[in-house]
Amino acid sequence: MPKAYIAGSGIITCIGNNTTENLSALRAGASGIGEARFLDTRHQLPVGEIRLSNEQLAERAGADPALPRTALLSIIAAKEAWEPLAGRAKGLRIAFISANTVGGMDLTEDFYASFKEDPQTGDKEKVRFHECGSITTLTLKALGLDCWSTTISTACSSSANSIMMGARLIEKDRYDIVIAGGADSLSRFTLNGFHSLMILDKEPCRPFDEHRQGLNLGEGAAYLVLAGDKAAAQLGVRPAAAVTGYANANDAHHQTASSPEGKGNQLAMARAIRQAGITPADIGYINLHGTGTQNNDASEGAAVSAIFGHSVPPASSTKGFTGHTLGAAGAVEAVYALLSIQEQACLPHLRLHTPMAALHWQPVTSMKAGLVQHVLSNSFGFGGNCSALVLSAV
Amino acid sequence: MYIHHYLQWQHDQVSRDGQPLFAAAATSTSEIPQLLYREAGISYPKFFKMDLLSKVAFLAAEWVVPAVVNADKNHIATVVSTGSGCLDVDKRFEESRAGLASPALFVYTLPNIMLGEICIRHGFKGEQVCTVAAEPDPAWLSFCVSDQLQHRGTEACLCGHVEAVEGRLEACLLWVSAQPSAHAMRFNQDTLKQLFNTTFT
Repeated sequence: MPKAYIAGSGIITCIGNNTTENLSALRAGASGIGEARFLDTRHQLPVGEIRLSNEQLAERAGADPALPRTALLSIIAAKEAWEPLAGRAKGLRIAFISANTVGGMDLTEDFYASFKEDPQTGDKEKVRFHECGSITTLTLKALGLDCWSTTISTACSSSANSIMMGARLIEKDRYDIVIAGGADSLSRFTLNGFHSLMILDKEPCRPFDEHRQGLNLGEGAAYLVLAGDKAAAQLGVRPAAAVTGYANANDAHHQTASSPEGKGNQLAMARAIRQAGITPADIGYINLHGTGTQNNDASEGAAVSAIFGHSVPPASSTKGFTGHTLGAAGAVEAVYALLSIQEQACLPHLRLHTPMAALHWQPVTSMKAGLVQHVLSNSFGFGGNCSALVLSAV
Repeated sequence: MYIHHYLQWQHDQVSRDGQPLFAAAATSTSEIPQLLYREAGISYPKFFKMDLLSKVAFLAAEWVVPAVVNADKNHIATVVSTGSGCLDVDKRFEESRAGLASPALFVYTLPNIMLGEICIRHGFKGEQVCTVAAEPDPAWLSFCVSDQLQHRGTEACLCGHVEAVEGRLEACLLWVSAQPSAHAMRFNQDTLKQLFNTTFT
């Protein structure tokens, strides 16, 4: 069975506009959480906002500043991943899988405000990109590709699932290359929605801390270029890692809360590890979903304990750096998992003051060098969707 | 692989395995799921909290999932696409933001919540995929479902496409497994195309 090698990657988050900048910030322990500058909101809630206006993003993306912010982020990360390889892909079968939850909501909410005042006003151009699928189409066009594509929307596990689907298409030899990932920008819609659920921390988030108060929303985009071995050779890359395990399961418990024992989380982790052909003891680092909500961290913590018993490997959540980037989170953290393998180090966990009393293990708080052959990355979402990926050094 | 049951829903008409099942004489789109729910005699109070997309997907699943499921629920997958997603509740949530944003509405502003409702109802803990696509994609769906049934330990799969916005209710859900049964149809791209073409306008 062909393996889904990682031939390229691209990322933009509030801690960096590309892969190198993200790695530097992770090394330095520099969080990107702060006050919103570009999101027009009356709430004083910290967010992981990318410090560029839409005009600045558009310039970097080489795109129209009138596009949804999610599309601009998506194009920047997708171009970083794909452009170095594009010239060598002649004759290869390419597919594109993207994921997001917010679509063109940022523009829709601008439109809607004036439309509500007077149905005769409001620039209808602004709602053209409302649906999630439009972000995929815009990104594909910006990459200059005309290939099969789809858009996955499974809440906060969306882009982990797009990578999972991408790996599957490579393994089944449907395509030679799949560019897979996702994007989401901040919007008032999501900020107010999460606020109404009362799961936003008014301070920078503290995942896996006994006194955690909730999550911070973030924004970002990330993509992996997955390629079979022949395609990787044609692209002239020597991959450092491959996606070797992936699984998703439904917790079948509650729309916005995980079951106390993290049943779905356990199923996803166990299946992904089994599929990679390894055992839990082979995992060198876990990138936790770790949002900072009471419920997520309690149930994910219990699920990790159940799978790994008394030998939990070094684990951390990187959401203290980026905030929760929703539909982009799975891909953002897959890029971080790749960095962990490339650097042979576990990524640090921020703002842990009081470890959770219910757990016999706690996250690693500094960038720790160590043998990292296999990384497990968790992504869980509303609707009970639990996904896990295993990336392995090759 | 075989399609054991299929459910086709067009506006106020619902048929199963090609035979009329329910019809509702409703004046508005949003009334139709409620009327059909009552007509079917289902008792599941959470139904009334759902958004339009989840209501339609939930009811379609009620009628296409067999009464007795001969498969391990940890290995039952759900794969559903939608073009219009949850546009209806997006609008209602946005309107609620003028006052106090409603958490009860916000929850439904994600299309995959319809899969969550189905999985909670039936206890399905297998793989689930939710894609946003203007049209049903028989090639993608057949790849996705076949791969799960043949290579990933999935024992049965609920799959299809759902559209639910003001003025348009259409759904086609299928119950598929690797085991043959009496009257089952082959699960392949041609059958999918035929079922989707006769459901979606």
